[in-house]
Amino acid sequence: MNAPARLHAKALSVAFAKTPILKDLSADIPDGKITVIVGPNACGKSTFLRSLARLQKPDSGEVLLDGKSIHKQANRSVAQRLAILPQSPSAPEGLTVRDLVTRGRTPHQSALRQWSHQDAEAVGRALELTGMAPNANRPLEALSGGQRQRAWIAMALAQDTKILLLDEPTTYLDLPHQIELLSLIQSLNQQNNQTVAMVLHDINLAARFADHIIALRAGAIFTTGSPTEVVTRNNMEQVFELRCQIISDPVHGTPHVIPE
Amino acid sequence: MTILETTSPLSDRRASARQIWLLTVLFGLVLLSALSLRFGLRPISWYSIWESFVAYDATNADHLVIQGMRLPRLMAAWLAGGALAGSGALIQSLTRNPLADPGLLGINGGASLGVILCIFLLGISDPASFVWVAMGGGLVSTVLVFFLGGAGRGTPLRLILAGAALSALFLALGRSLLLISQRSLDVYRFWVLGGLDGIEMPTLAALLPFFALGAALAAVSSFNLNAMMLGEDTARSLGLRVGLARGLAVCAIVCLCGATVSMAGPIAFVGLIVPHMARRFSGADMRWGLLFSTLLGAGLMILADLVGRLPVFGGNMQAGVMAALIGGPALVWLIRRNGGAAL
Ligand SMILES: Nc1ncnc2c1ncn2[C@@H]1O[C@H](COP(=O)(O)OP(=O)(O)OP(=O)(O)O)[C@@H](O)[C@H]1O
Ligand SMILES: [Mg+2]
Repeated sequence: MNAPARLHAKALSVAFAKTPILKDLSADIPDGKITVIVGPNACGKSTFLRSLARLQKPDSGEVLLDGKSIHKQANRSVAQRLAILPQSPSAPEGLTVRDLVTRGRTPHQSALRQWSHQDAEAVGRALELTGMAPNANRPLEALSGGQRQRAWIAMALAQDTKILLLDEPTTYLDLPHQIELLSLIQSLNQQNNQTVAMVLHDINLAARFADHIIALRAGAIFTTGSPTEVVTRNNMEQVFELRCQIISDPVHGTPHVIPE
Repeated sequence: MTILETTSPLSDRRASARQIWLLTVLFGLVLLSALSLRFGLRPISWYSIWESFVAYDATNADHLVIQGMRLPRLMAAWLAGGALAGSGALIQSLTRNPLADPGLLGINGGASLGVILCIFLLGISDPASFVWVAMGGGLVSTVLVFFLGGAGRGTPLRLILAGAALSALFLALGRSLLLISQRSLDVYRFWVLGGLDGIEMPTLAALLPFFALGAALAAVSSFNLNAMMLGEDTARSLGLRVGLARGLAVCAIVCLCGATVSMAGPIAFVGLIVPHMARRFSGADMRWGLLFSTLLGAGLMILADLVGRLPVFGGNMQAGVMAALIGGPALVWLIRRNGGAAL
């Protein structure tokens, strides 16, 4: 590997109530690529992503952002470079979509300097990209699960960071909207050279949209690499205990899992 | 993209409604303030009121009443109502609990115990000297609550429980002292029912720095709370230092409520209900929530004080009690009109 990635996990260990959840986990999140983290339920994907975003303090090891420990950097400055959408965020009643997306600008504002033209632009762009502009003035509780999910993603987009972490961004979305959202993330990645790391449950979508896959099993890295390297019959059986056939997706040429 | 024409997040219909409401509320406040100077036991003409400001004459009884009694009283109502309602908005948002009251942090309990101890142990009976004791008591108990509640790391629920436990303890301690000392009870009764009577300019001036500091901290906190209301994780990932933000909000509440309780005794209810009224106008933006709460709280206190002075109520009904008598039904009306959406 050449220049070190901007975001890097170094020998992370996390335990909850003495139960180890992440065990000595080291990984790069390659710059300008889409990384997808896969693994069975409760294997530690969210914990890993939260650690990368400094929301979870590791018991040992550290996360390096731009070469420095993320926990030792000013929180605001981290928030200008890295955004995360947690797995199940909650909002108070009465909050409109625009209110929520506007909150994404917080790291670029302060109590004294509150609203600028860039803020307006970023909020408008995020609403437009996620297709939430027509719903901008509706309160979140009046939206469907999928619309709400897109509103939260719009908030993370408004934060306008080079690195974007998403925990299961496609939950609640129907298949067309899943594809639409992942295509949006792909175009952000390609046009703005944004680094994306996300947890996805659908291994076929992961194979189609990822440049790089990290497969976790029981809190440790099982394997990493390109979709063709990771999505193999042998790996699927060991990571997910899933017996399957792998075919080549006739449209995209990526590996496609057919469970037996 | 037409969306780029948007210049601020307020450029929707709701936002202009908000501005119209703001103007209406401000107008109402000015009107109430004027009425509050005009009416009382002694009828004073508009002209004399005007004169007492532009050409004060210390030998004129009207001027003395206006400048020495009604104006300080009006200012106290502004400060107390605004401070209580503003900090009510902060604590409800900080704890994510719509039933939270600023007294929950133990300020009133601590202040009361401080005053009782001061009467009981030192035999002091001059209300003016209670100001600092009450302030100190409130401060000490809030610091205790904050740290028992896990300081910057605790959950909102833990903070509320710590506050409820300590408040109950302090009130019980205070009451048991009052039970064994009739003399203390006689003095304490005056303080606890004090309301806005007999507040003079020097007291106001001494407390003003606390109100000012509290207001500044509250303004900063309202910005922070906008992110905090999305949950701790999201707030942190938006770059907020959550522990610090929580500490700042608590400091704001202590300054505002500590100064209020030491000036006017414990006043319940205003801090609990006014933020709910304010939410009708402000939406989910805490900066507006704080502004509307403060203004409406001030308005409610002035109105309560004014009505309490009417002859129907014996000319001297405590403003805090009156505020609850007016505010309760007003809130019920708001809730009913909106089918419960206000809560
Ligand atoms: N705050 C916490 N306290 C205690 N245990 C936790 C906590 N967070 C996670 N865990 C435990 O850590 C393990 C891994 O959780 P994590 O949320 O990282 O799994 P995941 O891989 O994201 O699962 P899923 O696919 O269901 O989202 C689980 O067993 C969970 O019970
Ligand atoms: Mg998860």
